[in-house]
Amino acid sequence: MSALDPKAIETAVRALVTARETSLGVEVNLPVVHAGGQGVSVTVVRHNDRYQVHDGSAGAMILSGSGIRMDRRMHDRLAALVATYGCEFTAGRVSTTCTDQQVPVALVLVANASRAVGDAVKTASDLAEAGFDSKVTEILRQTVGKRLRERDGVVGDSGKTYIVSHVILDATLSRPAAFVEAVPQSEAVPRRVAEFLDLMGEYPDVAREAIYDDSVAWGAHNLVLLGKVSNPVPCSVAADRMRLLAA
Amino acid sequence: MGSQPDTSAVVADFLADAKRLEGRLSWKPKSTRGDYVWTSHLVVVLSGRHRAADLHLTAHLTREPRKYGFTLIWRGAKILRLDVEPGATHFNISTKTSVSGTHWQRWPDDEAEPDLRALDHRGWLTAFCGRANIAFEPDQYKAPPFKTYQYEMPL
Repeated sequence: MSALDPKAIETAVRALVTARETSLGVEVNLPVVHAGGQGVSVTVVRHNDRYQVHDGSAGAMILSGSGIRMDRRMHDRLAALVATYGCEFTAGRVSTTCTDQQVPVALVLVANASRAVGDAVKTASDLAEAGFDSKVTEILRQTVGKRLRERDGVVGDSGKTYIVSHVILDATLSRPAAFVEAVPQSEAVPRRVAEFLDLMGEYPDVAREAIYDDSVAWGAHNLVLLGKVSNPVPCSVAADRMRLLAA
Repeated sequence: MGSQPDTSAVVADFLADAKRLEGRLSWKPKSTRGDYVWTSHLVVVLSGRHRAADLHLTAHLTREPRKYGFTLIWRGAKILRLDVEPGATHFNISTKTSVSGTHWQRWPDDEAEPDLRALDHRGWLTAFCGRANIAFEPDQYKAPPFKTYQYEMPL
């Protein structure tokens, strides 16, 4: 391994900092990143002998781009977070004012506060479930054929409408014989239990089948919970069970 | 559960499926965001085989070059994103490289792919919708507002 050259490393890291003029002022790119890799830039504006350093609401724009609605409560919570960096959070913008000597440190503080804003809220993705959902759909297409209705709206006892992933119709294709949902992981159990409980009240005679992924470990309590409102079916034997239902 | 290959196939299938943008672009100013406007729309999958998605658009009100964001979110995940003139470098985590300027990001790794084209907002929206197979009618489009003034320096 060759010897490390501190000067060369410092020069390379400094090269990550770039600045250019925009309509907002001098925009400085800094080696600060949001989760996922989006970099952070901040803008410096001179006003007489004072300077304002701000993020042009870049952190807040990341939240909006993720579908996060910036209500007053969230705004106040983020303002408290930004204050821990010695900055202000006003109308979505992170900023601070300083003297010319303080500009470099102000840049770093605003950049990190802006990063904290953009990373403040994580959305819950259930994309990992999509693959298992698809697998269950394929099993049902192959086993019950034309009696399958996919993503059907069904109103529960509470009045809430559920988009049931799979509805198996009776032999006359006139009424539901079974509601079938995929349950890929334990996190999905409370949602499915609530759905089946509500459907059970409105459709007591329609079978409820919860096909779960038996290639992963499950806490027994999850299957017990599912069993109170449905018939838990291991995915590995789901095809046989669905054929039986459709017979 | 070995879900990654299955999930990738489902995401590819979702992207390829014909979709339609719902509603007319309606850029909303708000007291909690003074620098930019935002609009959000349902994206319906015409076959009904997949859940609907959301398209979130952002546009900076005062920055020149104009800064726009386009994000397609499905099942809580960012499936496709386009940052036009973001003004910040994107650092690609897996390759330890960086991309400046307009770039695309795709699920799952968010690695930035540069796009050197110079388009207006409608052109970028058309490009984004074309890549995600989302249809929209001309009368659904409305250009984002732009202001030429700056915020006052706080005293």
